[in-house]
Amino acid sequence: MSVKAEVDSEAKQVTIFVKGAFGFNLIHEFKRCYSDKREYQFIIDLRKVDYIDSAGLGILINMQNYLEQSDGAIRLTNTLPQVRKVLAISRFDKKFKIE
Amino acid sequence: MRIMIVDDQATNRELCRLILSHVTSRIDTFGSGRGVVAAMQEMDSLPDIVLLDVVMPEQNGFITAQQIREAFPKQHIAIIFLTVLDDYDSFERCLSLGDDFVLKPVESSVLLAKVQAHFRIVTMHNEVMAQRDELSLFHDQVRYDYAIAESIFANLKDEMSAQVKHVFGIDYISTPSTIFNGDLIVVANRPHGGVYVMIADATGHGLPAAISAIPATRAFFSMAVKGLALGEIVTEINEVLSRFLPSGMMLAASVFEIRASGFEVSWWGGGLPDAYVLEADGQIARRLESKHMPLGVLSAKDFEANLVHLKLEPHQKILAYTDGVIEAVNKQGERFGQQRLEAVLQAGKWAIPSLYQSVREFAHKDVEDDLSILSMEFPISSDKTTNELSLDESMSMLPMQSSLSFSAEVIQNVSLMNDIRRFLSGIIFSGPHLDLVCSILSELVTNAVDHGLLGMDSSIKELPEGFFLFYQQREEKLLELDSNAWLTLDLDYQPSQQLLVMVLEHNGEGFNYQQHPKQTQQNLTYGRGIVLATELCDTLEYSNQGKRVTANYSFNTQHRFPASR
Repeated sequence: MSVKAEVDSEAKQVTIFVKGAFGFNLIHEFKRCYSDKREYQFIIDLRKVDYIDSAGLGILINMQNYLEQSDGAIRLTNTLPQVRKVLAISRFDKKFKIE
Repeated sequence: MRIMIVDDQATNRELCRLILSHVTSRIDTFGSGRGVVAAMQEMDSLPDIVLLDVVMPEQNGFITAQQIREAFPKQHIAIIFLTVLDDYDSFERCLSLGDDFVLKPVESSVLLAKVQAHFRIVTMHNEVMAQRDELSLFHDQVRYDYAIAESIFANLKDEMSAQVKHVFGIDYISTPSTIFNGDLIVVANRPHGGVYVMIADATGHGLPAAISAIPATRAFFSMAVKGLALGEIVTEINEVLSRFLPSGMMLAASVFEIRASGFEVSWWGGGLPDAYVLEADGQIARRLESKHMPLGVLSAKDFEANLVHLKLEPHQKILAYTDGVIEAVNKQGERFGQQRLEAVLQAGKWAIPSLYQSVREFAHKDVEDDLSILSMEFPISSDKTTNELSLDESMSMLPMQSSLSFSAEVIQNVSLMNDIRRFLSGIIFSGPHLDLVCSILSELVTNAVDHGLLGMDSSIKELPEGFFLFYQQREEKLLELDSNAWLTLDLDYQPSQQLLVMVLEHNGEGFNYQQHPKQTQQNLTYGRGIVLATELCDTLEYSNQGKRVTANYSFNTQHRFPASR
């Protein structure tokens, strides 16, 4: 499994762990983690992602559109420098809180 | 029992032999003192007891006894004289040259009793000697083992502390009660910035405790390099320890993960006494009470890795220690205890040297258990970035040119990027460059396949649920891909120029690169790919009506990585 989610229903928080290449092949697995959870807070842990492409970025944008949460509400944590670089190029810091 | 009888009279020899025959395994008899030593030197094993007649014509018993003592100084051989002389002078000589005497004519019960008594002494003596030899051999062996172990631990310690030098805000002391330390404080950098810190105390002290700490250290560092989550790290250490440690041995530990910000901390605590969050002046802001069993006790299915998350303020501190601190004992047999510790902290003596001194002054003798204190003053920062991989370590030194071509069947059935990555790792073995090159190629391959060969239109993504629709359509179109379709990837790797040239070409529809927007439009869910690839490359050029793209990636650009925050 390249996508794993930990749901804390009490704190209304979901942490999604992604592993390996973050691209379009994860689209369905990823969506399953957030659909029907609009009222939840999301943290996406990217520590095991080795590279991300624009489809991966698209998945994140699509998630934000779906959840209708404000910019910066979704947190991307534990980004490796090379992943952070890709996020920075695409100005993802405007939409997500990158830690 | 082996006996030797030396007497010039045959009747005497026979008499003694008769008396002793049922308690001995071997009896040698000699008619003269002369030549006895030479004969003894020929024997397989020496007699335990020698019966020696004092008055003999050729050489008397006293001289013979002296010769025996000189010839075998290290063996204990009991010499009992048989004598008719009954003056005190003779008795004294008998006892100084030999061990005992029996008066002639020989009384059978006296001879038997004395021989048996001396045999018991001989047996005991031999046993003690054997044990002494064994013990001294063992002692040498232990000394040797300790010396080796000590040098291994010294090396380990150097390796462990290597990473601490680059971290600011962390201070510690760890004093073993013997030369080996069952306490452990280790610090490792996180690949995403920030650090992992572990303070641990193995059951007992000395060598066994120190040895049980090794697997934990190894696991800690190997997991830290991978940048795993704290929960995964403690789970793994627990796994490793329950596999390696005998039951009854365990490792009490507090493990911290401090994020790149230097303030956010996750903590797992099992078995150590309460740690503290301290204000700048030493007041206790919070106690960190261990919620778990020590590592190495629970099986994987019972082990819990739930963590406590904290966010600290500037100049706040976390203070953790092993039980050697609160279990230090004074003359009255009282322990230092948690209350005294808290009083010392609140009196402002939270810094390690003064805290350690307070414990030493309290304890009446050297502390009996290993004792360690860890203090972390926030923010914790690290000047070591993990991107400092030198190029020749992570990349091939050989120039390489390769051409890969993918047929329609391959494009349909193979997840191209997975295998391209595997192929690339023969050139760039690992590290950030491999990941960035993969990001670029992933963009270019996706573009070539989705738009060039499959003729997909990204504007579908603008529709509600369009993102999913797009990939659904893509799957359908992929099944109908023209069997003549192809895609090629040429790689030219030039290590001397630190350059990788990638040329990707296909026989589908060309990409209208002139019309492509130069800047990312913020809210579009598509159109980000080429901008991204362009930014990551030194140059990116389309040719052959947009069917061919050439990307140059250079490895020596320092500014590729935004500074760790």
